[in-house]
Amino acid sequence: MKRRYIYAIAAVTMLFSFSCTEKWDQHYEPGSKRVDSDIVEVVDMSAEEYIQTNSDLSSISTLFTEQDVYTKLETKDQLFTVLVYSNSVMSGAQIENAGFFANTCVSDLAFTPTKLVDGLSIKMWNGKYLEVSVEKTASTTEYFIAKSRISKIIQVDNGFVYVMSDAIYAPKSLYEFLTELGDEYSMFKDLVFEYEESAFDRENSIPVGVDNTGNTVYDSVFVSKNLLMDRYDSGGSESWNMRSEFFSSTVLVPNNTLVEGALDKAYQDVRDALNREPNANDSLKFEQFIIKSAFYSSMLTPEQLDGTEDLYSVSGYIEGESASTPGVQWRPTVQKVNTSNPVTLSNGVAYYTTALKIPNNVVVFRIKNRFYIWEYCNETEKEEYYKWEGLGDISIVDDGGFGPLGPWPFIPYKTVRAWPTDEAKANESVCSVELTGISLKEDGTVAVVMVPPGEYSFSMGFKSNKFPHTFQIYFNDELVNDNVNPNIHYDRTNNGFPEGYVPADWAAVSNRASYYDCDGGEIGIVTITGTELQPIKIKVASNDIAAIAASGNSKGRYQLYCWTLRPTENNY
Amino acid sequence: MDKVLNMRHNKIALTILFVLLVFGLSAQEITVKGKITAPDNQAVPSAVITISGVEGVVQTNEEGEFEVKVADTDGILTVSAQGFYDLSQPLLGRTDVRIVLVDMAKPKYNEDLVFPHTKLTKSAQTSAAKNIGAKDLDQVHTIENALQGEVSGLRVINKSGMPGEGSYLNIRGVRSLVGKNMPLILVNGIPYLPDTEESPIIGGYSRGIFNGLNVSDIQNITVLKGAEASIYGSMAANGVILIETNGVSASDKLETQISLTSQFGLSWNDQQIPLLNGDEYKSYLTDVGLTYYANMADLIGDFPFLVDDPDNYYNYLYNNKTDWQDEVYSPSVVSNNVLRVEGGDAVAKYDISLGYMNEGGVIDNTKRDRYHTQINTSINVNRKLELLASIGLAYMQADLQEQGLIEETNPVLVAYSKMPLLSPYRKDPNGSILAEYDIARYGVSNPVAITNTLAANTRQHNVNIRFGANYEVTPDLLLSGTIGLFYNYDQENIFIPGRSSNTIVAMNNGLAENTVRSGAGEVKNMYYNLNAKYKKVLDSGNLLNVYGGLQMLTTSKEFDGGAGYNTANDFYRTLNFVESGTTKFFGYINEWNWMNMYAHGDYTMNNLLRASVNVALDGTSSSGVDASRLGVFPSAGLTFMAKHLESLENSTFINKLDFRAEYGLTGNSRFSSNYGKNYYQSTPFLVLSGIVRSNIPNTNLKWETTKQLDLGVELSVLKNRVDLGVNYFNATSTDVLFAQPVSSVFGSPTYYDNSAEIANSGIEAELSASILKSKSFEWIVGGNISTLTNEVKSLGNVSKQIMDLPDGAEIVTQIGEDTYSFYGYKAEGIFASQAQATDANLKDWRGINYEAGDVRYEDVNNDGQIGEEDKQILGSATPDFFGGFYSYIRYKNLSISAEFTYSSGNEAYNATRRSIEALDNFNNQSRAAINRWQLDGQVTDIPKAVYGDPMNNNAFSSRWIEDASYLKLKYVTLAYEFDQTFLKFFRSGKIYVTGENLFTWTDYLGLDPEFAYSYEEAFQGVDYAKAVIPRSVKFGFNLNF
Repeated sequence: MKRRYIYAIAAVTMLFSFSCTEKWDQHYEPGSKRVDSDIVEVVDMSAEEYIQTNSDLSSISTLFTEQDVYTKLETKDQLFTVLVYSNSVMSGAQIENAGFFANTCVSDLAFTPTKLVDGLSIKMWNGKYLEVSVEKTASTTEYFIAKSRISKIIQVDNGFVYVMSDAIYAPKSLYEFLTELGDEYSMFKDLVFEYEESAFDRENSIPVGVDNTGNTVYDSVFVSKNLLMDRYDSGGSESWNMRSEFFSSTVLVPNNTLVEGALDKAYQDVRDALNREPNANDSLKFEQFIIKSAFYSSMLTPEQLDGTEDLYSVSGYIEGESASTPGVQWRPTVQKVNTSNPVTLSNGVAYYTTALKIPNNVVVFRIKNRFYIWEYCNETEKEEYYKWEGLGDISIVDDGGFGPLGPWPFIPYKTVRAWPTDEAKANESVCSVELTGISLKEDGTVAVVMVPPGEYSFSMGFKSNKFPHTFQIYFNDELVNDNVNPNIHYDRTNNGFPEGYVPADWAAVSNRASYYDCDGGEIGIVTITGTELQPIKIKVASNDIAAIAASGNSKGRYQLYCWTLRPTENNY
Repeated sequence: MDKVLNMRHNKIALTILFVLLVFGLSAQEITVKGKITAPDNQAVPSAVITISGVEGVVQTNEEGEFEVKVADTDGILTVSAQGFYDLSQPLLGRTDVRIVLVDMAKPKYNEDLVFPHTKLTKSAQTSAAKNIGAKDLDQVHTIENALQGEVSGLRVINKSGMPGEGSYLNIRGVRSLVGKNMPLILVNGIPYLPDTEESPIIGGYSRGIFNGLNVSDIQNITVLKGAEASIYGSMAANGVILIETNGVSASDKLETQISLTSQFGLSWNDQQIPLLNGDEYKSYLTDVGLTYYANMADLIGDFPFLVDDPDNYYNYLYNNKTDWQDEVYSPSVVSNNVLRVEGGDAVAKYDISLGYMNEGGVIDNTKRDRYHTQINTSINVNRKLELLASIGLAYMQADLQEQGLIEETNPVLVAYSKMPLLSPYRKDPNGSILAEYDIARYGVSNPVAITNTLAANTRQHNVNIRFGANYEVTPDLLLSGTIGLFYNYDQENIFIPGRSSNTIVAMNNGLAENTVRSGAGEVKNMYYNLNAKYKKVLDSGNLLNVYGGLQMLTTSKEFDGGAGYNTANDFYRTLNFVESGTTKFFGYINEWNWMNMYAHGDYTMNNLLRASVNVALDGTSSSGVDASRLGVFPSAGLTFMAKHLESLENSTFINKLDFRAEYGLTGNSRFSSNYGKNYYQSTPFLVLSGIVRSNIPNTNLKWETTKQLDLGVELSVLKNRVDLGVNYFNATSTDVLFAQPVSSVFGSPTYYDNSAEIANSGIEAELSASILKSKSFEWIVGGNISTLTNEVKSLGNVSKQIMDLPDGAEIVTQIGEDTYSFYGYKAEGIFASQAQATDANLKDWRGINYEAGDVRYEDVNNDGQIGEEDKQILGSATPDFFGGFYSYIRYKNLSISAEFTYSSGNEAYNATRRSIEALDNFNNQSRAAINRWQLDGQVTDIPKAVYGDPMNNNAFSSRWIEDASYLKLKYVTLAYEFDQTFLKFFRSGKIYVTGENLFTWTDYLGLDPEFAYSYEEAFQGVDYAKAVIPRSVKFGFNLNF
């Protein structure tokens, strides 16, 4: 009797214990995985065991054994993604370097296939990144790694094994491509790597001691930087560089002949246009254009490179600079690349350049001169270059100036002043002055400025003094603007700066740094036709100044300061 | 038990002596013979027999037989015997009497009842009630444990394993939505209304209401469920628990006696939530990381351990296999010791106990200490006037930890989230472990630093005082007066470090690098009672019992706290040093008063029928100013004692058969006194503080009314070896306070009115059966079961009200459903494949299609979109049935007993699991994450891991609602009792080993299905990561010197 009770109690107790364990285990313990899929398999073995026991993977398995891939897999306590190929794929594979090929097959993270997304890059053991792409339909999703389709997915105990439809040969990265360029591209390559330097990376270096002078000694990790081409965002984070696998880029590579030709042409343009010998600054500028114009922060297509739309190279902040550097202009109608033979890179594409020119708007940054050069002219020159109508009593007014800001020189605010003549006032006739573009040479003499043909933005500066009259401005006898307010205060317009001048860099020195040596107020766009360099004529007329002066208003006067021609983007 | 036995023994001896000296036995005409037996069929010798109308007494012989001459056979026969409860029954013409007595040692059985303003024997019971006597409180260590599973209709749920949290109590269902649902508790007849609010200082903590009372000072607990509760008028709708401390009235000893009660043991937790191990976590991290990081290098850059590279400089930080749960739990010592001295003389008697209790918690460095004393005395000033005093004092101190869904500081929750690869302690690059705690990494605090450096503590002072006087005007008329005080002072402090140590994640949106909170609360209840009792056996032999009186209660409750953060460093730990501008002050204050005139009368006819009537006229300060101030709460009961029918009186098969019907009105005015009047609360405006109107007052607000019908049967058969009680109740609460939604135009969120109605009904059954019984062997089993049906009948103008919990879960109170039901989406599985998801064409609320690996929620309105309209009721914490059962086996002096509690049909919201199975962050997850959806076509019930959970797979849904039914082995005890002098030192005693909470059978996926976030009804069944209730084994002894 008693025994029966004990049995009953024991049975009930066991029943309870089983039932509660079952629910708990069902939830918290790994269940046997059921996957309703033709291409997915779940096996209870390691990646090594799976590959070794699958006869259709014997070729890659042999390769893994030879290249110590299995040994490495076993020594690392982590999860992996292993790309494998069937024997048939392996038989047709073009394997140049077995070690490299084997190390392209394993990644240190276990990528769940459903987590693969377009654009994701998987780093393999050889350091190469393979890009993932996904093709989705309403009911199916296909995954590709480096354009090779995943044909079967096996979840193993230590990660995933992907059986790939085609062999993957890891492409070179852009940086590797550059470093491996041949001799015929040596000039371009040298230009690019001239800016590369190794920098000490304190964040990733480990303090290993203190030297005799008390300085901390690090295990010294160095990182490469390209001082010209590395780009950052305003917060200081990397936004582009040519070394990272995580930026998709295009590089346009000119050979030595093109580089030399482009430079020679540019130097000649300097001589012709600016009436001087090219200097080191010009060389630097032209070389930097060649480098900058070669790198783009996106994958450019042949259509883009053969098209008519201008392209702009990589932009962004250069380390240490206070303003973003814009991308340089690449005009596909002038510059040419061989779009029929692109080189696929792991992180972008490379094209070989076939025609390269340093654009006019790079050669000539701007042509700016001041009217007060008048005082350096002899009487003949004054007669020749300054033709006054209805204006007289010409003099120079010196209102001080602005600067210097560090190396940037003092800018005098001197104007040429002229008053309507009594006759003009009596007749209330049109007053004007026609000026020839001249510049002051270093020896104190003046010379006529010869301007290359092309389109320019034309600006002028006067003095702002609530002048009541208006100007009509002609350029090479053509009316550019018939209603110019003369109250443009010298050149302080915040419109254009001298080459290399960054106002933000000098803001701390002067709160007016953004007024320094600007172009003046824009009068209009002018075009110099023809094919040869030629002098320019600027006529400043006023049809109301005489009447204003006649009324006794002392502000009825001319005070001319500067003129500027800045090549437009179309002046390529 | 011994005390009671001794007392009765003395009484009998004195009575015999007195009677023999004064009277001689008189010869009568009719001879009445009889036999008195025990339940085990053994004869009871030396039992004293008295018969009303007959002078003198007789004793039974060795065979338990007696013989007495009587003039007639209409008298009442009374039997007293050592070791048995007294018994009275009418002779009803019998000349051959067969009586079976009830053994006083019978487990879980007590005939001495404490009723409002009076004490009764079970045979004089007038209302549905259950009693627990001191003998059944031997090995329990709290009053709540003593009640759990013992009383049908009473749910007692341990709130947590944090020391001193106590238990949630509820009798017969939720009856109020705004007012208190806690039963009215009286200690020594004095209403006991401690603060039951959640601590504003220590997260997730609400102090247990019985903390200041020591269970070994308790003589008697009566739970009143029936009409008799009406005496307490508008405080009684939730039932009444009467607790009587040891009083000198129970001790008629005139010699000094010393006893020692001690328990020592260990508490521990061996339950753990399975979490991902290092490799599994890495796999999970890769999955979720790839949905956050744009490239693999950034993922590895932030989590370098994903690549096993021993040469990595930081490798030493991540090469650990830490079981964080192991780190935060540790076994602790528990002990409870009470030394008692009692004695006195015929004029003054005393009973003094001194005690110290130490209760270690399961979480490392949590514990509670209590020093307490209970002094009871009575002084017979003269034959008519007796003065009574009892004073209970307790000082309590507790070291605690935060609980609830506080991700920064709840050590248990943090232990779940912390990645196993990290170390609790700092390490140097060589891997040597340093003394400091490791800093918080990856946004998760260091759980070990929390348990060791976060300082949360409380200090409480508790005072219970009763002074009383009884004046016996005539032998039938007693006047008494009582003054009582309950006072509690509670100081709570917490300091959360982190500013210097960086071990705990900054709180308050990352602003609070260290945090200080501090506060103090005070509760004061004053009670006054004047009472007159009249008891008379009328000439007809019928019994009249009447009493009435006036009682008054004033209560005040106040808590004031302050908080601030960022002291200069972790050395400065008080509010004085927090950063200026970070401080805020808060608190609550409530005064609540009650006055009550009461009367009770019962009349017993022919020992067959007892009618009782109660009426109370009372008023409280919580009524609105325009509402009627006084309410009348009548009740009536009728008991038919069929055993005393002539045909059954001599039956040894049927030993008791009572049928009871009761109907009564009770009220609930236990809600804030502020709701019925204008009041204001402070609110910050920029850097200034101001006051705003807090409510729209309802000046007609009145008490809630509960009408309850009780029908019951009590049966004892087979020589008192089988007791069965069945009770049916049906209670309808009307005028239930409800916060009606109001237009925001009024500028106030709440408007309370008496517009709701809630119905509760159920059947309660209690059974005790002595299966085997002989002198040396006994096996008793018993138990109780209660069903509960809770239904909202009306909510005034609305059909439902939804309450948002802090984590976005929703709880609805809706007509036709349980109060506080879980309300959310019903999950129907996971889309195994993209094809399946495409076929279903379900969209989320933004119009984005669900994809493979997402949870499929039921589209209730079939509009193809999952939105608010698709939410439904998912269950509630109200059980279908609950109770407890036990088995007691005794062989000679050795006994083994096991007690179980159970609950069935109650659902719980496992918010803890929701927070560790979210699969949407970089924290460690429960091991269920291993079954997450990863492969197209994979059939599983765990969705895919996606950072930030864009598709709301983690929404409040049936995924987190679980069946929290359980069966628990509450106690198993092996005991040895001796009643002979031992080592010439101990007179008697008991030695035992008891295991507590050792086994739980449940399908619940949390650590323990038994928990209560606080005393709030709405939070019952909400698992917010409270500390698990410990298992413990204790060795104990009760020794009498």
